[in-house]
Amino acid sequence: MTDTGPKTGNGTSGTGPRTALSSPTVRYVLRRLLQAALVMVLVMVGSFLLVKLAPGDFVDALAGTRDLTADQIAELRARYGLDQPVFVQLIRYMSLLATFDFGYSPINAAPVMDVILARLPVTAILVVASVTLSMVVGTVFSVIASRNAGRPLDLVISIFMLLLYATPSFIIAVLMILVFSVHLGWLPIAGFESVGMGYTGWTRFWDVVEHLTMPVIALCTFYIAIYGRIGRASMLEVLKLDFVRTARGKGLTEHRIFYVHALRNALLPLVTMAGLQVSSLMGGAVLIETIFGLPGMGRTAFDAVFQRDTNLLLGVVFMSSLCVVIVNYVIDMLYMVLDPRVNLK
Amino acid sequence: MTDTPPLLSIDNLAIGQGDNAPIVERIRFTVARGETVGLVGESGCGKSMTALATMGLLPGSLRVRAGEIRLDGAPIHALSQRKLRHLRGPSMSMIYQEPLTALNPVMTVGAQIREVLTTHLGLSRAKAHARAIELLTLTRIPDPAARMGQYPHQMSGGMRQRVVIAIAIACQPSLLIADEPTTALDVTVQAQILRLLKQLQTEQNLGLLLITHDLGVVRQVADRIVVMYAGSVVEEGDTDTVLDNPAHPYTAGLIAARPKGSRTEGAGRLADIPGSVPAPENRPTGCVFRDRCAIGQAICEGRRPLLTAHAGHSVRCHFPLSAASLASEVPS
Amino acid sequence: MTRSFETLRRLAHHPSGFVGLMLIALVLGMAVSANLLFPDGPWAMAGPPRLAPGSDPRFPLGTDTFGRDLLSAIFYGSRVSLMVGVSAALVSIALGILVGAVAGYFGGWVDDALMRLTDAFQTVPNFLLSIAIVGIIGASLSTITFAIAIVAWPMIARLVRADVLRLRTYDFVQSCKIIGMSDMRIIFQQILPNCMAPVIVTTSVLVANAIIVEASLAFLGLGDPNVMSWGTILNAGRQELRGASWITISPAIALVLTVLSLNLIGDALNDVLNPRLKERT
Repeated sequence: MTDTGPKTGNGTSGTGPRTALSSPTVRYVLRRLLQAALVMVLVMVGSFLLVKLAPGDFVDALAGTRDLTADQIAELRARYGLDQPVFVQLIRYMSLLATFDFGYSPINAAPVMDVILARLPVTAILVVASVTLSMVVGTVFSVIASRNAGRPLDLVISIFMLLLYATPSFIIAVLMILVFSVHLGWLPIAGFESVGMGYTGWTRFWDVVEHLTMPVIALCTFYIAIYGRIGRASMLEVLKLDFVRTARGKGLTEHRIFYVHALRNALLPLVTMAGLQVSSLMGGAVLIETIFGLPGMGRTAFDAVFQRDTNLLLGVVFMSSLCVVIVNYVIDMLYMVLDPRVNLK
Repeated sequence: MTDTPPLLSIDNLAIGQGDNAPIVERIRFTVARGETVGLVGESGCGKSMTALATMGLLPGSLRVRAGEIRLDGAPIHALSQRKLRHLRGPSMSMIYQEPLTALNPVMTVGAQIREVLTTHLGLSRAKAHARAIELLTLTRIPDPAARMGQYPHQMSGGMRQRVVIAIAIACQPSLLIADEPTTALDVTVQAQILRLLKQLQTEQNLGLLLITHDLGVVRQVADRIVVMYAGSVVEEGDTDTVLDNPAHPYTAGLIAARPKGSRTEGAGRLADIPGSVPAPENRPTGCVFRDRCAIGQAICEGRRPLLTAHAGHSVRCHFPLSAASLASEVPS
Repeated sequence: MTRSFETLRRLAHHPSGFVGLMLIALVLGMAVSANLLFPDGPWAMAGPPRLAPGSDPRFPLGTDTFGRDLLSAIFYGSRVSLMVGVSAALVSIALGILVGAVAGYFGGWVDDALMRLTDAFQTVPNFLLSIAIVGIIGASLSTITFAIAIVAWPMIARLVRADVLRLRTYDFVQSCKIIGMSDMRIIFQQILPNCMAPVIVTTSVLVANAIIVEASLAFLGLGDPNVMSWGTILNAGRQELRGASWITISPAIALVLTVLSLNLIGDALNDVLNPRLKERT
């Protein structure tokens, strides 16, 4: 046999000592990790400078609401290091951050870490539920549309996707409140759960589900449209490829051709969207949590901006960016498994 | 031939899109069990469409507009996709020109072979796995068991084509269509794949329809040759008869255009025939070859010649060439 | 000039392009005619408060809590949306082209550094950053425009970089280098004109997105207090959902239709400028 050997794929290294570092996979994983860390540093330095270069700090905000003497103001500034040059403050902040110390939130009178940890679960539930729901619903729509490409059903779905794509999340939220809370009275207007009812177990679970239904749907619709549109286009592209013809030539059922051969290839581009979605949902959470009065990180950030609570704002920026970085990293690693062709350049 | 119908018979077949000019016009040929037929012509002459029509895999809005395709005597050109599905694999199968794109990039080759076996033969996963390794062994792929877990992009072109062949012969079809199976491969690998195909054909008594533009390939493996030009069959007969004594000026041109000395090399550039294959809508009246033909006369413009017997084979020409006039140009 | 006219003509013949152009022309007409039709401005308390639509022919869309004419507010709001939308899109395109072209053309550590910067901007939740900027610096049309543009450029930068990376290996670029043309001239005269198609397609999406962000900021109370924006009306309408839901409905429809028209134009531009996707049935 003179067939040329297999093109070197994952995990096979050339000559030389076979240490873990010589494997392209390990090197790729490590390099991506380093890039992620670098991005986080950039994010924090940038945010810190933005916050510090703007006029006014939390002492000013505080002085606006109650009477403070000049001495008290100077003392407060000194206590939080706000009288130091920005560069010194940056160094100090970054070195504390390296030990996961976010500093103190004067407005909440608690360490920033505690405030964030208390608010993180609500946002996490919102984001995870929204990503899951929009991926599932978006995929279902794209499958129905592409299976019926060119038929009336496809047109109806396409128009529906177009409408969802054009409607901002806060409009969806307000319209849902109008219909489901104000007019029909089916769903609670605000809050994370019913206060003072003392629900436990499943009763509490369903109570929370009732409260979060509208916020999650409001966060979802835009990405349902994105997944639906991209999924449909991608599916129609894949169905034209040669290997689909081969699958048909093998006498497989249309069902198997569609769901086993075409769908997996067509959904790959959707996976890469998830990182973008998490980032966008973290931003959208500010709006939605404010509208629905949810005690999450977005709401916290919104309040922190108005009260000039720099440490708290930076803490939220750090935590949400960290989530995005982690999700992107996980997606990259997942993609390596899902698409064996991935190029570990 | 005798009473038993040929394995594949294509009769009066026309393929086209809506009311546009047909791509394939009224072609007719047969493939017998255990026979290798070479379908030859330049790209754009309709040979791939003929193959895809047989499989029921015509792309887009192309349809069989007239004529019949019979497999083992039974007409299959009008079957629904649902019924055709049961023929693809167990009765007929196909090998494609580009083995990389013909395979699913995100499935292991093992899974892609197994699914044919589980679908048509109802084998269990474990049995299908064992059988798939046997099939890969038949294709002479090195280290077949290890290949099962690999993805197409991890293999060389020749190995991918062996995988495509393993898939094609998995359910022991009686008809195998190979559409330019060696065109995308390295020269050294081309010969190996051809030898493999020929060997499988003999062992399994396959009817093999080999589509190619390479006359060297045809000479090497085909029992009979069908030459197509611009959607029509222009010459047909035993390989040696046709290649030694081509009667149609187009066939003669093809032979003359081949680079001399090597049989497997060269993509059959047609430097000696002026012009190129006309698009379906630009085909001339009368003989389709007349505007590229050196010996054309008035009658060629007025009347399309019929496929008629000439010196032991069939040819579609008003002025078939005689053996003597070409003796100098025939390759040895 | 003739090429952009030709593009426009084909756009008008595309079904969704036609609908999109008609809708956006309507919004543009509203913006232009606002002070002609409503010389008193959007803030004037012109009638009784909370007047339902249709009950007084002088106020077809009704009035808000303070008796201000909602139709007038919608007309003036279209000015803010279009102004912020277009200027934010232009600023982010300029930034994105600059970063993308420099990164793609020079490659190496310049590319690495600029791409990590791009990553950083795509990592921070965009709306959070916009809120922080507007909240900290103060709400004005220019701050809002800046806050939207500063988070939107990375998409353009990636598009342009990918095209420049591809184009810089082409022969015509290499020959420009050989005859000693300066890098900046090669980038701006030779390369960039060849990678504008995807940027143009993205423009309508950028404008639509900027309009949404502006409305969202104003809805949260972070709009420019001196101008009447659709978000401003929506913010006021939020308190009146129970009694006067029309205050919310009409600006919501205006906003959705505007964004829809821009998306339709974007889809049509994609079909017109990207022949590969034309065969979609």
